[in-house]
Amino acid sequence: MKYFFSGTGLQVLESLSFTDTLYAFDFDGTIAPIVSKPELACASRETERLLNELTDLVPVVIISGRSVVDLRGRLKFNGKYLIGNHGLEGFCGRKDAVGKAEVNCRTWIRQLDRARGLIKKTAGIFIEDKTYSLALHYRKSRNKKLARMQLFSLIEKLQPPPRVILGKCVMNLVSAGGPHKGVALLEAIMKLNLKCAFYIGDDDTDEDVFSLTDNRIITARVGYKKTSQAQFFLKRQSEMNRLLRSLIRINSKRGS
Amino acid sequence: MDTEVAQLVKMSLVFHNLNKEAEARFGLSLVQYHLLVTLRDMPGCSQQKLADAAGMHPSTLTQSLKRLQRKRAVFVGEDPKDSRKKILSMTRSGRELLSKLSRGFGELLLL
Repeated sequence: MKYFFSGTGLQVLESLSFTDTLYAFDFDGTIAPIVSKPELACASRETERLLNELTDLVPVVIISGRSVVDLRGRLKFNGKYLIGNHGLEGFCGRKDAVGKAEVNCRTWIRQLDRARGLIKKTAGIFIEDKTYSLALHYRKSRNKKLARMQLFSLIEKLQPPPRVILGKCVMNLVSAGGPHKGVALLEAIMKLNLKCAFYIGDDDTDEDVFSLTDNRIITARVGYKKTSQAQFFLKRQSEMNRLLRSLIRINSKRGS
Repeated sequence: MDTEVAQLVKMSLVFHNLNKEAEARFGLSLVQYHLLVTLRDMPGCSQQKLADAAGMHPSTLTQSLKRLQRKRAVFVGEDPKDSRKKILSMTRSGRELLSKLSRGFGELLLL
């Protein structure tokens, strides 16, 4: 991984503006800083303003684990493209996969309800129902290692077995075989008839994009991680505004 | 067969002259133009990937890339995933050269 604001990063960023590029962003930890309560997550006014300014210049999409309804409620975004539930919802969503995911989520919730006794023992674990996927949060747990182990033992008994995507103090349960953020991004490039994409995210759910072996996609991660497949990194979320300003500046010069 | 070979040789000579003329007039040969157009849609790709996409042998590509680098039309940087490898992308100067040749292409064909 290379720091984004290095010579190579900025050069590649500029070269993206010479072709038809889709700019894709994760929400939590990328557009919005990580907060202790996920329901309080929101982007700063300046980030929102910059994101909307960029949307006026180039195609922009937000790809999040949150539901589209939830995203709309916490981001004043002028763009047309919001993809939710790790690629299940949005303009690329498939009705059959969405229906199957909803049924699976109801089944898992019933099974998790039956095991509620075990969950209660570990304070700080709570389940976020995103309709088409579940997020099991343990950020507030005092003993995160124990919470993680208990969640794993619960998840391994779930039927049908979900696909587990690990995030920052969260385990996302999605239907196995369903689309993920990588698939969603590729579909978005194709449907919008674009040639390249830039994607930035911050956690393990974004590795589905980072690990795509596709020449057309340039990836960046918020925060350095040795094992990440992303090409570039930002040191921290607070550098997002600097990145957005760079994108705006570079793309404003497109015609010149 | 003699006629076909003669036609192929004539075509090759016409292309060679056109290539030289394009470079002299617009600062970019037709081969370099083809490479830059391919690279424009593959920012940050490796030399091997560019050679595959452009349909060129890697050793031929190396020569053309050196010329493009001298013209500052191409940026060669360290691959962020593997420091032993290099990545390529088109620069702003490269894009200007592309536009220049695109605009003058009709004029070139009339020569």
